[in-house]
Amino acid sequence: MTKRLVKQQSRNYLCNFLGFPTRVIVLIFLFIIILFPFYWLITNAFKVEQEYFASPPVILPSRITTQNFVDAVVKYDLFKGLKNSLLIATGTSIVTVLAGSMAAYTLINGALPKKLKNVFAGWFLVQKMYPAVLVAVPVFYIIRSLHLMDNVLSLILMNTSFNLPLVILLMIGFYQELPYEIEEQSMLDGCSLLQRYIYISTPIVKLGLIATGMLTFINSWNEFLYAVILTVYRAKPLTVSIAGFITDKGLIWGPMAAMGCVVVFPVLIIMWLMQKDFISGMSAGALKG
Amino acid sequence: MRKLVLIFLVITLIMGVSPTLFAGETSKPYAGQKITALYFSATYAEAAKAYAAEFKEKTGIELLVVDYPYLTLYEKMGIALSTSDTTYDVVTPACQWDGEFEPYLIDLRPYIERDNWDAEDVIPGLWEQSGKWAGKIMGIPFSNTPQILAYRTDLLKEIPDTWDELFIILDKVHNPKKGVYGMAIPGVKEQFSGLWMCVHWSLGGTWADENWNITIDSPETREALRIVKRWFYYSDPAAPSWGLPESDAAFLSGKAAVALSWPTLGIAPNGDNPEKSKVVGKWALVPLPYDKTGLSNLSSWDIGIPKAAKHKDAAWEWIKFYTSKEKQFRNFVEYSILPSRKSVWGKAEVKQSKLYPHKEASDRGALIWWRIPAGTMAETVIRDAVSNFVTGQWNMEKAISFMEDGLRKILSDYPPPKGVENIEWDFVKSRLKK
Amino acid sequence: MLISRHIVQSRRDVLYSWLFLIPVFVILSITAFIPLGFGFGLSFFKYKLNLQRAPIFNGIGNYIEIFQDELFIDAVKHNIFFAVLAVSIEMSVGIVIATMLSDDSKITRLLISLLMIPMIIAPVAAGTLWRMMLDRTYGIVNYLLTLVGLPAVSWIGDYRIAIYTIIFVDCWQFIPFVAILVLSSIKAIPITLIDAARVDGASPLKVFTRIVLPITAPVIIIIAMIRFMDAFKVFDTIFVMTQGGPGTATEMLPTYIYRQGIKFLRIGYSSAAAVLFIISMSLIAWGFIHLRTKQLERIG
Repeated sequence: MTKRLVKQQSRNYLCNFLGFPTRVIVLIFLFIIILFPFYWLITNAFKVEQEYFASPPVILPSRITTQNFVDAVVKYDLFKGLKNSLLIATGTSIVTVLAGSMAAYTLINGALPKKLKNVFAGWFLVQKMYPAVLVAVPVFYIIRSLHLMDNVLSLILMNTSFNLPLVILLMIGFYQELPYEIEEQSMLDGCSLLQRYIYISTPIVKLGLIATGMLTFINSWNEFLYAVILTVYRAKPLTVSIAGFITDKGLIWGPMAAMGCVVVFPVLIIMWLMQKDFISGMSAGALKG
Repeated sequence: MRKLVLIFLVITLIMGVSPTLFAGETSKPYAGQKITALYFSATYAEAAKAYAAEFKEKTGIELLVVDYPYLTLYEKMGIALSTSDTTYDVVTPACQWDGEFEPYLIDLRPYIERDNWDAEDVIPGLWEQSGKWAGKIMGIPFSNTPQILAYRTDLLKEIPDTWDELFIILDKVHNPKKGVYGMAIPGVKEQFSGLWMCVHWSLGGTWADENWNITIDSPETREALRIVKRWFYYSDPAAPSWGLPESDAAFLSGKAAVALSWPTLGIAPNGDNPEKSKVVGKWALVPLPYDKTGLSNLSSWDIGIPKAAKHKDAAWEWIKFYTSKEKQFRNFVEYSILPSRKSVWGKAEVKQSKLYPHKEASDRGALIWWRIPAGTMAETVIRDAVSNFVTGQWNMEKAISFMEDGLRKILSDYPPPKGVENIEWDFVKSRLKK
Repeated sequence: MLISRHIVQSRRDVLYSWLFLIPVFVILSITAFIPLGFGFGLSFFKYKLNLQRAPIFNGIGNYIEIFQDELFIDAVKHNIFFAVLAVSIEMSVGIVIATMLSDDSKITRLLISLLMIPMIIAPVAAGTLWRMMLDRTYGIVNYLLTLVGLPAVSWIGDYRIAIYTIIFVDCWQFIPFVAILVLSSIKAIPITLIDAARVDGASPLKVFTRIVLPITAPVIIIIAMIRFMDAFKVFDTIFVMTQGGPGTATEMLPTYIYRQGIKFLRIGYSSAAAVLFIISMSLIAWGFIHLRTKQLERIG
């Protein structure tokens, strides 16, 4: 009881390091600047068409309509976009976390010569080193020859590749935190690498897996460039649909804002539910060093 | 609770992915064939989608329309065509891309001859700039839109014949304090370059002569740059970042006396709709100031069949359907798409509509820039130079030398194929003689 | 060093180790190594995809042409300016916010959830949203400014300001990212250290500078490295807000490469730019990692 109070006191101590009033001002400002665009997005989704380009801009809409959402569903395939985005993001998260944690685990606890481990440890970073647009055309060819055009699998593949560096990097941190004695003990007990990975390490680094999974989910949910290049119409996710509203006939604000809301909300809900796990996951070990 | 969310997501994933694992490529032969067409979003795609049901009834062919905004259409089309992708059976390149995509589209002449397609009905001069290329017919033009001026009939008492006259008129009507600007223009670079070209050509300027020697360093170029830069004085301060929607909105809400922004897209369809416009009954269209040549910029789209298409015959059926007299007329009435057929222009409803001034602009002459494989690169050079000049980042000399060097380099790296002349030169010089 | 464990293990484990690495290897080969290999090879050729002719060998011609293209030099300058400024702001503000949110109150937890919002909005969506709000005439931001008597600003149309606007939107999106990661790191600091300092009479500011900063420095350096390298890949925001404009004021390396590779279909040329890009990024990454190692040694 006292310990918790003490801990709280210290935490509260630190957070006022620039003074209490400063903190209040900064946090209020933060609150406004984050929420206001969000408010704008939502109100625009419900605005009547005349009020988009009204001058002066309308802050509080006088009339509300749900027509934009209806349009988004009917004319712009909202549900299909949603389904595709969901498939891509979930698929990517699962594959990336699986493959990445397996690789990270092996790099820390695997049965390979040390030199080899060090060499491999750097290679996956290459994916971080260049803008994705660079390899767009070769990738286009490759995906085509694999007959994966306009297929969510191709996007899962690409997004996994983009997120592997971060996942591996973070999971390495987690696996480094694992006390090695546990590994040794289970090895003496006769556990193979596979068994150790599944039964010993996974429960311990569970938070890390969740945290990296969520980061991957967000990144792949928001990916745009390859979604445009590799999809035609069947696998179009929401990000492509949103960009599609920038037509020359008009920036069709209404349905675009409606779709924008839909793009944001699922991720928001998931983040809200998993928020505690996420932060504890990150602090538990990924970033200690 | 969290676990439930995870499980839910995993199940959705499995359900969603399993069908796609067995899907394979785009076309599955149902009863009758299935073809895919690539269109520019906005009116052209809408019209196509609306006709798909009727087309299926008539021919049994199922049509799928895929559309993209202008921003990404070129890349999608370019990559698909250059890599011999089989996804699309029908594509609709913009006429300025003809030179770049021509090698990947089939020659339509056999089909045209076989079915006796009424080729004479196409407006003369249009096909040469939109669909025909070095003797080959790679596409049939289906929309013919010259750049044109929209103006307020209650504010303008005279129609300017030269760009200087326009300035005189603007001086009279420009009144920002009362909320009326002289002009509404889209200042974003991808739109603005086209406007500069209109001025440049109407003054008699050219980029190169008939043998592709660069002629852009000329008095006409300088004058054109000065003119377009001055336009910003008469427009809303936000114009440099405006696209077509914003400038249309400015005109429709009564805040501008003159608009230069492809009226068929926004102003014409909405101008007389009291819910969307405050200038109902107070606007009209008129060709751009004639100045020395009367030329303006052409926006035209052709429709053609990629060499890699799998259902060429079915694709040709769609092309005939979409470009037929009835459909072009319907395009005009319902979607403000200007026809490419003389016969449709001759119809009473078309003649009486407010869009009819486009015919006069078209007769005067509308030009598209270089239709060569490196056409996009050339336009980008012009676009960057003009934009940097009007925003004050470059002075005139720098802008002009950039254009000259850029165009020269493009022509030396990617020389136009033999037999392809610079028709820009013919257009301009023949009119200057008059 | 990252990897430091080594022990004699069974043959079966060796097999498993290789098997575990295969998924990553396969995925990265298909999506990265092979395309990059292609790119590297193609960078020595002149190859415009939509011409019907085969690639022409060009030696290092593409590389020379790149350095002579003033638009490339401009893109590099803009990108460096953007990266340095954006990352500095994101890191400093992010760290400050993270520290301010390091307590355990309910309000803090609410704010942290809200903080995640900019992170999860797709850059495309965020860019479009801000473009709408920052329009000089129809935008809400200018309207609010004029209400309090400040002049309206042409955030996107003025070439001097446009790049700061892009930086602002980038910061808006990623300060939360930095803040949350740094926050996790701060929460991992053993409470005893802070306690001891507090009992010793150190002011909160001193606790921050003497304890929090040095301990979280390795993490901060890695986050800075990630942000810095990402800043050279910024594409979505610019594509949607300015298209590299006004003029060429916000042209950056990714948009330059996009323009050359996908718009102009000059595969050879854009691959050469790619190679240069990767080399520079590797050097920068090496620099950051070196810095971090030194800092780790210092903490001991």
